[in-house]
Amino acid sequence: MSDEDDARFRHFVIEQRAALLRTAHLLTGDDGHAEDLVQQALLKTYRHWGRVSGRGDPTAYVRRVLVTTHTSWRRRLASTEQVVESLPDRAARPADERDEELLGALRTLPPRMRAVVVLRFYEDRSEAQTAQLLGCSVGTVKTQTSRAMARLRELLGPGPREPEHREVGRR
Amino acid sequence: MIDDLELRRRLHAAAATPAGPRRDDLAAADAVIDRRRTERWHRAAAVAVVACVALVVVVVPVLLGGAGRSGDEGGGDAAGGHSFPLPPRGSLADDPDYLAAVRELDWPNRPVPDSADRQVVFAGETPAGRVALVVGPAEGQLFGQWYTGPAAAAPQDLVPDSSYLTVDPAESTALAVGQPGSGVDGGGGALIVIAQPGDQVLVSPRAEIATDGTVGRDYQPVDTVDGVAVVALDAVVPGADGARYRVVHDGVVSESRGVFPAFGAGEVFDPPDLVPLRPGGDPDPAPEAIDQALRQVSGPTGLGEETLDPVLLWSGVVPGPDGGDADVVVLALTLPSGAVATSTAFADMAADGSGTAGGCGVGTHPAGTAVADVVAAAACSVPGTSNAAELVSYVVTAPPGHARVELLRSGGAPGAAQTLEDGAAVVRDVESASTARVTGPGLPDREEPITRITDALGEGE
Repeated sequence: MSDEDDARFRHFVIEQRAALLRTAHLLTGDDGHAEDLVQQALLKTYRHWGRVSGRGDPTAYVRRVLVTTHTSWRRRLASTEQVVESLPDRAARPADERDEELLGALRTLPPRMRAVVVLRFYEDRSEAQTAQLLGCSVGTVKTQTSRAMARLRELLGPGPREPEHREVGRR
Repeated sequence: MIDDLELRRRLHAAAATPAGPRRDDLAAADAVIDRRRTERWHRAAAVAVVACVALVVVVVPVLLGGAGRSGDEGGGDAAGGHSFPLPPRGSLADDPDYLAAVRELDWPNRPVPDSADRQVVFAGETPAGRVALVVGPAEGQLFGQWYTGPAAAAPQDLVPDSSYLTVDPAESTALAVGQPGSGVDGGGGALIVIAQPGDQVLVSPRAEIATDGTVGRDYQPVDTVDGVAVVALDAVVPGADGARYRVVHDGVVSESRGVFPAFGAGEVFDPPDLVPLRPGGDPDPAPEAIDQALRQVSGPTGLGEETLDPVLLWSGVVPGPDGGDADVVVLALTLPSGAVATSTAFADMAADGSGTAGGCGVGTHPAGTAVADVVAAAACSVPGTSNAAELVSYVVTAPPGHARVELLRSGGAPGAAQTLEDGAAVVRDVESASTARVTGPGLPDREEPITRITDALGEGE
């Protein structure tokens, strides 16, 4: 990997990491795991950086790696895959700033169903895009979306009101 | 009640990160780069083995199993498909409240049978949690829906776990569930085969490649209760889909089938980073093509990358029907028996991450074959994004010293010929070829059967 490739990778990380962390936070429900998940996804992307960046925008690639790595998270932690390195503890996010009800409800969903919810309703991906990212059929995405919404309707009340000053539009 | 818009609003609010990450972005990037350098150093230290062994190529095609059972057996309204003729089976079959609740569960696929007409075919505990199969009539057919959940799951905790499924009561149906990456927690997986009472069920968890390079399966009889087999599957690698089963009816194998994997059974995208063994190949091949080539062997065999020790023989491009190029890779993988498999695959990816990846088949070689000495030949059919017909290219790679490849028809008639550059060639031929012959000065001629996507490991056995 050339110095120029490394520079492009650093630029990519600076541009994309915050968004990746937000998605990873919804997938994992945990800030620390989210950061480890993003770091793994970045490492897996960097292994193929020359090819992936050569096509144009590597964003789709790293996102696919992110969501599929998440779905195998439990297995990975128990086997050979390791997080990039240990990080110092950090103070947890104040509880009152979280939508704990939503995060708790997401955690009850199977990992891939959770990924479908995040991709469809947080990242606003189409059914086809979600299917491609997860490596499954559009019909499967429809199935899982339907079931996830039914489950979330059972679990979720009205939820916390959105602060008026916060922007919640797409990235 | 939460709706789509409300869910979007709350997801965006919850995703915002007031507390900053433990490491800033630049430090995170540098940590990745440093880790990668360490990985490369370790790999460079490990790659130092070259073996020289005589090559004998044996490829034995896999033959299809027994014929299907005639539709008039097994009872029921098989022709019309309007009802299932047998009572519920499984460990929960005697719990009427549970069965009634399962019949009312969501049916996400279309058409949706009326819940009043649905029947529970199976409901029970398995090594991978609770599983149920519900069937119901719609539009003149009988449709099915599998549900899965954790051990001791209440009915409302079961999740639809299959796509569109039609059911013929005269034939068996099966589901593999609980494999790594699926939605069901627990260490192992399970295979549920629903046949007729009195039938015997034989199960092969995966394809096996023997020392001589032949591909086969070991079918073992499993216990059945009222024609239902519930079998624990060992932990398998993500994406493994190699389980098959046979049904023996009246002493004759009446069915030989693959198994429908439950949703999400191991779709993990983590292709290894490989460097071409032979000169001239693209040093930075498409990871999607590598992933596809690896899956052609890891899926049917259930063996992971660590076991298969993939070596990238060659990588390059083949023409696509729309005028562009598709990346192609040829992997050599070593099986526990010592046999060597060659797996060729392509990927045609766009900048937005969309694209197509496909396999070009798997060839096998006996134990003792040196990976560096392998000849691989595959026909890759690359589909286009438009209505253009698929374009077939023959990908051939051979050890150093070989200078020319000639394609041969099935009867031995010569086809297209081309010079090998750095031991590889992509050959176009208007007619189908079955064998590639490579030649070189001072070297014996070698012939290699051409693999195709239809040469999937252990599919038909």
